[in-house]
Amino acid sequence: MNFILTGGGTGGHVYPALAIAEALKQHFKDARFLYLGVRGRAEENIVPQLGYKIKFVASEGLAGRKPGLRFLLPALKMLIGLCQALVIHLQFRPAAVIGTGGYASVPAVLAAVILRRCGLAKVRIFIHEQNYAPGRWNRLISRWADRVWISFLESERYFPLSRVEFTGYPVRRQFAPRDRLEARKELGLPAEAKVLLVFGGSQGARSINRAIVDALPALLADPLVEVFHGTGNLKAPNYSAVKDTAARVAELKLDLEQLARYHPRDFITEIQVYYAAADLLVCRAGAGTLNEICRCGKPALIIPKSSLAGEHQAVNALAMARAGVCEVILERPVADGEGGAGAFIDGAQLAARIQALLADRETLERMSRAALSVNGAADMEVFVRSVGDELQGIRLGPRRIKAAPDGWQSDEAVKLAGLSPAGVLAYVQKNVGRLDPEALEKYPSIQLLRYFADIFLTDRRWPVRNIGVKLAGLTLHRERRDLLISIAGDRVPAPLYKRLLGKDFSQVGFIRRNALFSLGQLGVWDEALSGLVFSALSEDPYYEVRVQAALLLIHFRDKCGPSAALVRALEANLAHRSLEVRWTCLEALGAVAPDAGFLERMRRFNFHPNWRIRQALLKAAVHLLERGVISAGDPGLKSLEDLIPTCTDFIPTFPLKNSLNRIHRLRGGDANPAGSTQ
Amino acid sequence: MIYYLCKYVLEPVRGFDWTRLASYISFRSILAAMTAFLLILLLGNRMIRYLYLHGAKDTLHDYGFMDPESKRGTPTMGGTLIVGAVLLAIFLWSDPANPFVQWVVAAMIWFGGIGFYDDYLKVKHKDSQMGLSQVTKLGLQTVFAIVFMIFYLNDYTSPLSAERIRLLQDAGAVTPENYKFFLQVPFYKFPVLDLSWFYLPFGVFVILAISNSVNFADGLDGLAIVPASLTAGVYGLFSYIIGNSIYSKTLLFTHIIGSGELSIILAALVGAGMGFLWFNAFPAQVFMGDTGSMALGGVLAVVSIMLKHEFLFLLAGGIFVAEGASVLIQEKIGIGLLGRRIFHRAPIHHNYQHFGIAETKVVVRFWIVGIILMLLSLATIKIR
Repeated sequence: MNFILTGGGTGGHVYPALAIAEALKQHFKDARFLYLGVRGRAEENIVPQLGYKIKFVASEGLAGRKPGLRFLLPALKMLIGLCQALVIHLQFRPAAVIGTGGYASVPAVLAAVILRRCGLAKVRIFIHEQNYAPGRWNRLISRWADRVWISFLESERYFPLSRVEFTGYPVRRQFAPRDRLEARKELGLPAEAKVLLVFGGSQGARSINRAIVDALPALLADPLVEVFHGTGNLKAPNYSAVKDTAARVAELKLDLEQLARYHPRDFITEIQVYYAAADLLVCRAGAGTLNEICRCGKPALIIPKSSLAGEHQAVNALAMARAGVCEVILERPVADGEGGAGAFIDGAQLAARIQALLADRETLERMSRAALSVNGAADMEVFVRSVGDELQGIRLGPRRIKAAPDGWQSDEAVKLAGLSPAGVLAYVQKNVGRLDPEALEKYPSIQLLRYFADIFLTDRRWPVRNIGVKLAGLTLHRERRDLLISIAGDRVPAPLYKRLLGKDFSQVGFIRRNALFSLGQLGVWDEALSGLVFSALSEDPYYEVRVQAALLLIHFRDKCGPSAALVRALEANLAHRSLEVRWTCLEALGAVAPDAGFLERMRRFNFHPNWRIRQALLKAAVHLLERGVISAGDPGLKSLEDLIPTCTDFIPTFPLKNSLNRIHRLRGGDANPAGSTQ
Repeated sequence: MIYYLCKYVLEPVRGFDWTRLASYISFRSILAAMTAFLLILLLGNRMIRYLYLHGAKDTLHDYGFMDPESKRGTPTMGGTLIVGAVLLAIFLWSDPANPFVQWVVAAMIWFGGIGFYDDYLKVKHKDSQMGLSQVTKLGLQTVFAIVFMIFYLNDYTSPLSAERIRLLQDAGAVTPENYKFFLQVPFYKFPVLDLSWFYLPFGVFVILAISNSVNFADGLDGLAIVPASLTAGVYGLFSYIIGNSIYSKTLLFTHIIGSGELSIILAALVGAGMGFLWFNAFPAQVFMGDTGSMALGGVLAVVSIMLKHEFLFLLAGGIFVAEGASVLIQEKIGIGLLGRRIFHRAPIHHNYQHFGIAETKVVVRFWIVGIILMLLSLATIKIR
C-alpha cells in the first residue's frame, strides 16, 4: 500500500507528517511512503534523515498579503509543481495522500484532486492542521479532503463540518509525563525549588534568550528560583546563541550562589524530565510545544514568535490563553538596522510576569488543570483507524451540526490575523476608535492590536508603517510614544531619484503628519513634543506636517503654556505658501500667544480676501478669551469690529429633512446624531 | 428614422417637398437638440421618482437619520435619462447607416453600460466603495478603445478609408491617402505627423484619458454637465464644418466625408445636457452617476478622434483635463509614490472647496472658465 506524504516549507509541517507515517508503518505492513516536498526547505534535510524517500516538486508561498504581481511567480511555480506531482502520482499510484499544510503540500494534493476528478485514480486525501487557526493553504485544499484532522477541538468551525475529525497533534514517540519529585531528584534539585524552564525551540530564539538574561538578576534574587535555559544552538553570522548568552550573563556579574542556580543548556535532550520538574515554562507557541504543554499539564508563559504567516503563533497562544492554559507576552518586532527584522522583549517586564506567576500557586494549579483538559493525548491509533476506515469505504458518521456555525469570523484574533494592514486599520477605526481610554484598556484584543501596530511600524513599506503610526494612536499605545516622536522628526533623506520627484525623507509626509496626530491622541505634552512641534513648524518641508503641528498646539492649548519660540515659529508661517498652513497657524497663535497686543498686530488679517483666514483670527480671539489672556473689554477685540463679514461658503439646510427627522423623534426614535451637531 | 422617412417616402410626394428640410444637417441638429431636451423635461420627474423608489439613490436612506445639511439620498443614475434621450434623438434624426454615427452610438452604449453596472453595484451594496474596481473599469474601457482603434485604422473598416479620401483627391483636395494615421493640431491647418500604427496606442490613451476625466469632474451639482455640453457644442460646430465640403474648404479644414452627421449627435447631447441641468442644478434632484459621466466621456473621446481633433480637447475640454490631471498627479505620484499630497485636495474642484469657496460658486466659476475655453476653441476655426 502506497502513501504520499506532503507538507512543508517549515519543520512544523514536516514532523507531524512523519509521525503519522510512523504510525501507519506499524499497522500497514506493506506500506511504502514517498514524501513530496520543496527543495531547499526544511523537508530536504529532515525527511532523508529519518529514512524516508523524498521527491521534490516546485512550489512557493505568497510572501506578503498584498495582491498584485507577486501572485504571479508562486502561481507559475505551483502550476509546474502540479505537473510534476501528476507524473509522480501516476508512477507511484498512492492509495492516499496525507498533507500537513504549508505551500509545499499544495501540488501533491491538487494533483490527487485532479486525478480523482478524471477517474484516473482513487486516491484518498487526508489533511492535518496543527494550528488553532488553519493556514491559508489548508483552508484552500481542505474542501477536497476526505478527512480533515485537527489538533484543537475549536478548530472544527474553520473546515467543512462533515469531514472534520479531532485527532490531536501527532508526535513521533510517546511523551510520557513524569513524576515531578522524581524528575527533580534526577536533576539534583530540592523539592521546594521554584523551577523555571525557558526555551525557544531547537534553534533557540534570540529575543527570548536576551530577555531572560536581562531578567536573571531579578529572578535569581529569590533563593528558591532555579532557571533552566535552553539557548538553542543557533549560529547565525551575527548571532551565536550560546556565545551571545554566555557573554551577556558574564556582564551581569552575578555572584556564585546565583550562578549556581542558572543552568544554560545549548540543547535539551531529555526534555520530558525538565518538563516534569518545572513549575513554569517560558516558550514559543509552536503547535508542537503547545501540544507538549497540554500533555504534561504545565503552566506556561508564552511568547509567540512574531511576523509569521498569519501570525499563527500569536493566534495559537491567545487561543490557549483564553482556555486558561497560559499567559501571553507579545514580543515587539524591531528593525535591527541591517534591513532585517528582529524582536525585542522587555526583560524587566518578563521578570515581573514570571515572579507574579511563580508566587501565585493557585493560578499555576488552575493553568495546569486547564492544560490537561484542553487536549486529550493524541493517540496515534486514531490516525491508523481513520485511514483504515476511509480506505475501506467507511465514511465519517453524521456529526452534530452547530446551530449557527459561527465561522472563522467569530474569533477576533483569528480574524485580525487574516486581515491586510489596511483591513486591520479599518477594523480598528470602526470598532475600537470610538472607545474612551478606559474602555480601550479593557478591550479584549487591545494587546494584539498594539502588537500589530508594532509589527507594522517596523515594515519596510511606508504605507504599512503609516498604518502602524495611525494604529499606535488609535490604540493609545503609550509605550511607542518616543518612537512616534522620533518618526515625526526623522530627517533621513529618501533615495535621490525619489527626491527629484519631490519626496523628501524616508519617513514620508503622511507618516510624519500622522505621527503628530497620533501623539495628540496619546494626550501627553512634554519638552520632547514641544521641541518636535517647533522643528516641524520651522523646518518641515511638507505643509500638512506644519498644519498638524499647529493643530497639535490647539489640541494641547491648556497644557503647553505660552512659549516665545513657538510664537515666533507660528508667526513665520503666516507667510507660508499654503493658505491652510496660514490659517491653522493663525488660530494656533491664539492658543499659545502670551501677549494681549496680539490681535492688534494681526489686524491686517481683518481684510484678508479668504474668509478662512479671517475666521482663524476670530478663533484665535476665542482662544485668547478662553485662556484668560485678554478680557472682554480688551481693545484688541475692538479691532475685530471692522473685519469683513462676507463669506464665500455656507451650509445649506434642507428643511424637508428637518421635518422628517422631527416626525421620527415624535415617533419615539433616537435623536438624529448628524442633525444635532449644529 | 425621420431622415429616411422624409428622404425616401415623403419628399417625392407632391405637396410634401418641404420635407427636404430634413436633408439639411443644421435643421436636423436643431430638432435633435429640441427632442432630447423636451424628452428629458417631460420624463424627468417620473424618472427621478422611479430611480428613487428602486433604490438608485446616493446612499442608504435611513428614515430619521437624515442630515439636513447633506445631499445624501439624492437619486443617482440620472445618466440613463441622458443616454436614453440622446439615443432616441439619434434614432429619429440622424442617418443610422453612417459609420460615424454607429461608432458614437456604440461608444455611448458601451461606456454608459460600464457606468451603469458600476452604479448598479454601488446602489445594490449601498456602499460607494463596492462599485467596479478601478482595474476592471479601465480594462473594459481599454477593450472598447482597442477594438475601436483597430476598426478605425484598418482600411477596410475605417470611416476614413483610402477609397473615400480618393474621392476627395479627385475633387482637388490635398488630403494624404492615409490621413487616418495623421495627427492634427489646433492653430495649424495641415496634418502634422504620420504616426502610422503608433496611432493605435495614442488613440487608446486619448479615449481612456477623456472618458475618465469626465468621470472625475462629476463631483458637484452641474459641474460635469455644463462643460460637457460646451465641449459637445464646440465639437458639434467643428464636425459641421469638417463634414461640409464648402465650409471646410473656405475655413481650411481637412474635409471628412460623412462626419457632418456627428453634429446631430452632439447637438442632441447639448439638448440633453440642458434638459438634465434643469434637474441637476444646485441643489440637485438627481445625479448623473457614472452612467452619465462615462457615456459623455466615451462619446466625446470617440468624436475627438474621428474628427482628428484630439488636441482640441485640451482646450475645449480644459476643465476635464485639469480634473483628470489633478487626480492622476495626486493619486499616482503624490499618494502612491511620494507619500504626500501634492494638491491640498483632488479633483481640483475639491481644492477650491477646501479653501472655503461654496459648491455653487465653484461650479459657476468653472462654467465661466468653460465658456472662455469654448470661445478660445472656436477661435481656432479662423486662426489656423
